[in-house]
Amino acid sequence: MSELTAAPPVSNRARPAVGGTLVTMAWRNLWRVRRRTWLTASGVGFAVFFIVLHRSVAAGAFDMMIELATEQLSGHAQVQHAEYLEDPRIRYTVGGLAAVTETLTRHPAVVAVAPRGMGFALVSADAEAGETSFGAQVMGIDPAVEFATLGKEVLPGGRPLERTGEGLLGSVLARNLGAEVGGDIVVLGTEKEGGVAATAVTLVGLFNSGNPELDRSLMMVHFDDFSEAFGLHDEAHTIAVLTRDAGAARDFAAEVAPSLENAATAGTPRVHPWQEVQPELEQFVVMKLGGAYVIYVILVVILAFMVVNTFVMTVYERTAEFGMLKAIGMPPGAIFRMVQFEGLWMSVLGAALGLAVAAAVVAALSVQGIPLAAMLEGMEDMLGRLSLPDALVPVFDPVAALVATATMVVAVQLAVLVPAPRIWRLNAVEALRDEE
Amino acid sequence: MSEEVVQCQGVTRVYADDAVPVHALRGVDFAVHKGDWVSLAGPSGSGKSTLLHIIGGLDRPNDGSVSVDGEDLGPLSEAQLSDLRLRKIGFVFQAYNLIPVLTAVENVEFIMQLQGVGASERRDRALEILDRLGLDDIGDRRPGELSGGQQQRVAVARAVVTDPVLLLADEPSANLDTATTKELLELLRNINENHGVTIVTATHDPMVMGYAKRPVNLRDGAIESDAGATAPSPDA
Ligand SMILES: Nc1ncnc2c1ncn2[C@@H]1O[C@H](COP(=O)(O)OP(=O)(O)OP(=O)(O)O)[C@@H](O)[C@H]1O
Ligand SMILES: [Mg+2]
Repeated sequence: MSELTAAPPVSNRARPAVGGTLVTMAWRNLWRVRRRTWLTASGVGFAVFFIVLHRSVAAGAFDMMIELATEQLSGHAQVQHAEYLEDPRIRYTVGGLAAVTETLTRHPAVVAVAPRGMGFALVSADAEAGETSFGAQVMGIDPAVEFATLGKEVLPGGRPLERTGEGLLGSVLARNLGAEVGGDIVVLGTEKEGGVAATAVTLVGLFNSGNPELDRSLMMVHFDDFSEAFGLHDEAHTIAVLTRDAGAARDFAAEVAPSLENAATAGTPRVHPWQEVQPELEQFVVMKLGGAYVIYVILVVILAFMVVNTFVMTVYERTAEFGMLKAIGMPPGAIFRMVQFEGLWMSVLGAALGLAVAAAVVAALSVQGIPLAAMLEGMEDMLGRLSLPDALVPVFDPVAALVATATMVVAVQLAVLVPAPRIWRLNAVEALRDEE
Repeated sequence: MSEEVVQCQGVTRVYADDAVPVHALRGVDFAVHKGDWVSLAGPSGSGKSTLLHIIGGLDRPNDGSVSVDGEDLGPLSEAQLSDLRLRKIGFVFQAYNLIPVLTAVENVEFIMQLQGVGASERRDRALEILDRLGLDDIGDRRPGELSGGQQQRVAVARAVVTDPVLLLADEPSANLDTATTKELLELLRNINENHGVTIVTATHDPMVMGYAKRPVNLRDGAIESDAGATAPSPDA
């Protein structure tokens, strides 16, 4: 044998340990076509940037919107008589109010529990223009425990409900009645057992929710006054619950329902998450976010095609090089692995770019905040005139960053598969001959 | 009788993909002995490259048999041929020999890495061979930073570092000037004479033929003359 170098016989070569070198070669190969690499990586980066920014800003806005919308009135869950949601009759109440309230309050996720009575009545005011009556929804609330933002803000000249003997009116209803703050409002309805429900309260304030339905037809009185007038005894139509997390409302409802069986008298109550109470709110969010997912998918698919194109070109242009590598005995699988690493570097580089820019933009946006009015366009009806903050402060979403990066890495690896067969098919002799 | 590194019998290669089939090799019988330096010569299209590729397991004959270092190439799969090339054969092509993103040392190391040689050993051996071939000063340069002659010499280093039984070189001097060609040929002679590496070159270049021990002339896919022909026809 020749003695050019002191080479021991080559033995253990089941799996050549070329991994590390392939990674290095892959990285260097990217910079042979600098412009194309930057372009492709920027494309990948843009997708990551877009998804992360969108999730950081929009998803945060929707979460906040849900919180605001549910805090206005519904809360995150409502305990009701099993029939009440479908058919809100005055006799469908949840009994054992004190016990149910106590059970709910004990749950660690619960922030507030507010009993409410709901009844239909004719209301009238002693107006100078003569007495007019309007049908109204009368809602009994307990100001001591009520969390609803509705009614907490009243028009100038009035104040929120504080004690028994007081009432609030929607601004439109008040105008229709010709009622003024300080005047008396007479409520006339049918109590739970069918008798006459009658009470009179002093109007202390008017609310303007922005929701025409509420402003036109809602009157709020103290829960005790309501109970007395409508004949409720340790019962309520709705026990509204505010929890720590609107997003977990369904789980909360399912979890808490069994524990109420014993507490409630007069039948097993239902626990409805806000999604059942306000289906339109959920539909809106699902639609908006679902639309965004479609955009994400389209973006990722477009990028994958761009990457396919890049790597088809890469493999095609390097025919002679790959031919030489095959000729000297490099297995096609190893050549392909090198190309896979090129894809990996490409996606990592792109994702790093995208994340850096997204983080910078989120940071920049959080200095000023994003005007909310623009963000929540189309939500006016649902939100009414909630006490929205002027601006949303976006928060970088690390989960979105991780998911977007992982998605792009996988998409690029799939794209790299497209030119892979060429590496196996490539004939070393022809590849080298072409070059000559 | 000296050991035969290459044994060809009735090697025939026909390219039938065109309307008129091209007979690149018409039943070549040919052997290369250990320590030989065979130079395949002949006009363009005479089949030099084709024969070299078939000997190197890069192409398969339509008929006939080839064995390298006693191993019959016929039954081997693509992967087995690839493995055989890696273990037993060093290649030097006319151009495009080196991996552009690796330095000279890394290029030489890479082939050993494919063979599974450990990191420190392959670095040592790569440096050693570059040193012996007088290329130690260009070890950290990438092919793009090397002259054509330097690239070819690094390719030779890469081809012999694995201690192959056979070195195949197709037009190794085609892109080189006379002085550089001479350097390359001196290098090959050194390897052949002092280190016993068996060489087969295919070339038009009279200088290369001058250095080889045994010129073999091809014409129209057949051996026209062979200075070292020893084997009589099988059934004479
Ligand atoms: N892939 C191919 N398809 C068709 N014909 C081919 C192919 N490769 C080689 N040939 C033909 O086979 C014959 C021999 O070619 P080969 O490349 O072996 O010649 P050569 O002696 O190396 O020539 P040169 O000195 O020009 O390199 C030529 O006629 C050539 O055209
Ligand atoms: Mg040729």
